[in-house]
Amino acid sequence: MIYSVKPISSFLLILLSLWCFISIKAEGKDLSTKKMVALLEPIEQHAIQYGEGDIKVYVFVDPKCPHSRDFISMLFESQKMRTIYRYHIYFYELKRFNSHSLIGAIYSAPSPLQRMLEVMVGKKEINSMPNSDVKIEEKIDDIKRVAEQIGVSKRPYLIVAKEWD
Amino acid sequence: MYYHTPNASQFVMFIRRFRAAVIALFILFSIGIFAFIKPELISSDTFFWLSESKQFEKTTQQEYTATYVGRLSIKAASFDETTKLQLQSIQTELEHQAGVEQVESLFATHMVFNDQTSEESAIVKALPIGSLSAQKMMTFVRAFPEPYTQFVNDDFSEFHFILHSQTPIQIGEMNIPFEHRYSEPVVEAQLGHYLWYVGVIVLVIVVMSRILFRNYIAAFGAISVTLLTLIWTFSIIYLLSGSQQIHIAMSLMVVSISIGHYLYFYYRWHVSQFKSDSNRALEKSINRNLHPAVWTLPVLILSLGSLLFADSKIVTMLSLSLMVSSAVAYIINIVFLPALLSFFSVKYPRIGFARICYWFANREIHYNPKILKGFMILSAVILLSIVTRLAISPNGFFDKHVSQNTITLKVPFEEIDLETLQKIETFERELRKHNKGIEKVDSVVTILKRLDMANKPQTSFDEQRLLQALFFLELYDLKKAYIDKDALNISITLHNTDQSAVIRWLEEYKGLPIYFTDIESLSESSKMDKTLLLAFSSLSALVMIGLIMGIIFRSAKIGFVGFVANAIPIIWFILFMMVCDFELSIEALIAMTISVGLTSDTIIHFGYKYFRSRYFGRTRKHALEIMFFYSGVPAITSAVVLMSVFALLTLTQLQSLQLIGAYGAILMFISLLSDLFILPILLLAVDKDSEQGMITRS
Repeated sequence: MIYSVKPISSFLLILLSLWCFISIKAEGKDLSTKKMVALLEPIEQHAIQYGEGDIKVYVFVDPKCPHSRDFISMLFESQKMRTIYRYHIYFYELKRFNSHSLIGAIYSAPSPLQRMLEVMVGKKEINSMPNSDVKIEEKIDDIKRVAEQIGVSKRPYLIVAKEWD
Repeated sequence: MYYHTPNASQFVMFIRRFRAAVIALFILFSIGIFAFIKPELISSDTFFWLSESKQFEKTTQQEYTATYVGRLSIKAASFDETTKLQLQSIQTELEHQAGVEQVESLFATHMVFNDQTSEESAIVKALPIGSLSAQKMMTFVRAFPEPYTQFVNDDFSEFHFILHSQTPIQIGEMNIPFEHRYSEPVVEAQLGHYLWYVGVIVLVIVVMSRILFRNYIAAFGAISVTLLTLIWTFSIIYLLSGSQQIHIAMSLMVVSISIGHYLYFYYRWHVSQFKSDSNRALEKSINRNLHPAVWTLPVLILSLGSLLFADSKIVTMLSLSLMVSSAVAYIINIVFLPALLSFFSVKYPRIGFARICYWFANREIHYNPKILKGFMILSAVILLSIVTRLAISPNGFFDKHVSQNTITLKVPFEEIDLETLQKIETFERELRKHNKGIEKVDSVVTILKRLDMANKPQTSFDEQRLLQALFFLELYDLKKAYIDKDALNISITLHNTDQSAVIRWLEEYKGLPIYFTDIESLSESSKMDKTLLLAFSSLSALVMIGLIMGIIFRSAKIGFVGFVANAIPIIWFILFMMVCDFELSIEALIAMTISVGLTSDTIIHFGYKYFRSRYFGRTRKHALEIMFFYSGVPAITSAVVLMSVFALLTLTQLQSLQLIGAYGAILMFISLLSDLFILPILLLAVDKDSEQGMITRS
């Protein structure tokens, strides 16, 4: 049996497919704050916490990215911004900076926060050997997975949670 | 009635006998009550209006503070690095002035942008625009002019600084090395303003005394009577209302009434010495003025009495000032003044200027009834159009046109969320839709959208982008101008529009809980409430004056003359205001009320003199000459004195006083023309009996 498709029907079919494609894509890239926070909560223990405020800010940074460094420097200089907000900082590599080893080095430091500030604010050069700690690799992979789900494209990338979150 | 001549000889003899005691009693009593009431001069017009502003009450109940909003405009020949630094230092100096809360200008704005070198950052940057070089500032502002249009013009030659302060700012004390203009509508009166005001009155009275009466006695008497009238009036008002506050408009009313009354008494005493001695002159001063002066009291009290029951302390105080001062001036002129004048006699009783009266009488006796009829029809048509316009669009009658002005509002909020922003956006859209001349609406939405748009988003504004914008707002300290602890600030810049219409629309807007916070809008809204009341009261006062005059003279025709003669200056003044596109403000209505008070006095004195002379057998022409000589000269003199005082008040820095001064001077001029050219003809027109006087007929 031969099925014939009318031109109008084929046009509607194409429109429907396009809508589905956009919707699926949007689901990954343009999530609501609540959904993004729900994705981030399981990896909160991987974050470097900075600040004591009531409002959570999830930040994806690359330790070598100058914009990320500017941003962390601004937080470092602003007591007010650390009082209002509490930052959950995730390292998420930008391929062109090749910062995977540096991320591993910061995570493996006794105080990752201290090390992050030394590197990103104090511009301290540290020897970053390829990481061999599986746990740290898992941590980096978990962050990467969630970042991809959220659609993190920029560094720094901010997600501000509402106070009730 | 006007044909009775009261026997005042006993009374004058008594006053003469105890003149020192009478004067001492008046002075001591006045000093005593002055010390007792301790009158409080209201240093700012604003306090007067704010005291009963419903919007101000609403704002203070919410614990919001009202601020003065002033605009400093600076012209610069060119904009280079030096100019930029000078303007920046002016910004800093303004910010450090006592009481200044905020200074909006180009130098307080930020350049909001996302670093264009990379698209990989979500960080928005906000740099103070003043940190750029002069050249870069111009380039940036010209490329993105929208947020800066209210602060600088296209060619960077005029800069505007908008000051929000708790107290009025004295810009004159600052050193600004540019041509500048400061427009702050509300200025607090300084001691200098009062001294200027008193100095002007004294100067004009002394000049009048020298030129017209060629002595200083007239000036001395006028100043003494006025001073006592002021003290007594405000003491009585205090006893009646319990208020010690005196607004400058109240004192202007008292001075006007006092001088008006005084001149009739003094003038009669002065000219009577041409034929009689000073004692007889004193008697004539009393017995010829006793009746007409006392008639002015019921006219004023009954015509303006309704204002006492108005739900407004301000309107009550203004009307009380007129009524009480009229009664007080009467008492002082018949008791204190004779005691004072009994110490003096006049060397030159002839008034050369009085000859003009005969010219007026000669010209007006042959008036053309057709011209009078035409004028009356024209005035009636104007009155009809005014009443129609008032009935159809009462608010539109009192437009307040502003070239550039800022209204500031507060909107309480619990959370800045999408719903709140949506409400503010709807408010702005509606505001622009229903009102003309809305140049800019600046709110938290404006800055949040700027911060958001810096990232060039591809999708519609959502909750996360709002939270991020709020984050940057906090990061760059941009919050202060837009968000308070529990309220959002909205500022509306008006350009060439009717401010009162915008205020009315805002008062009625239900989509947001709105609280006015700029003092000008608050006092303007209070004035708007009173304007309509005062306008209707003034119109009803005209009708009442006509009725009462009809009763006093026992003639409906004279009642009609009373109404018409009072209404004509008002009708032509309103026409003048409409033609010149001036708004019929509360200041104009205060000037009208003063004018009604003075004109009704003049009508009674003219009518009294004319019909009294006619009763005693004078011809129409002779009666007209007597009327002009005995009532016309003091009426002209008081009009000229008060016109000069009012005109000089336009030179003060108090805006409301400037307006009352300007409108008062114009209105008094129109009233004077009406008194000289229309009123006598109207009296002739209603006196159709015969060429011979009434007594001869009977």
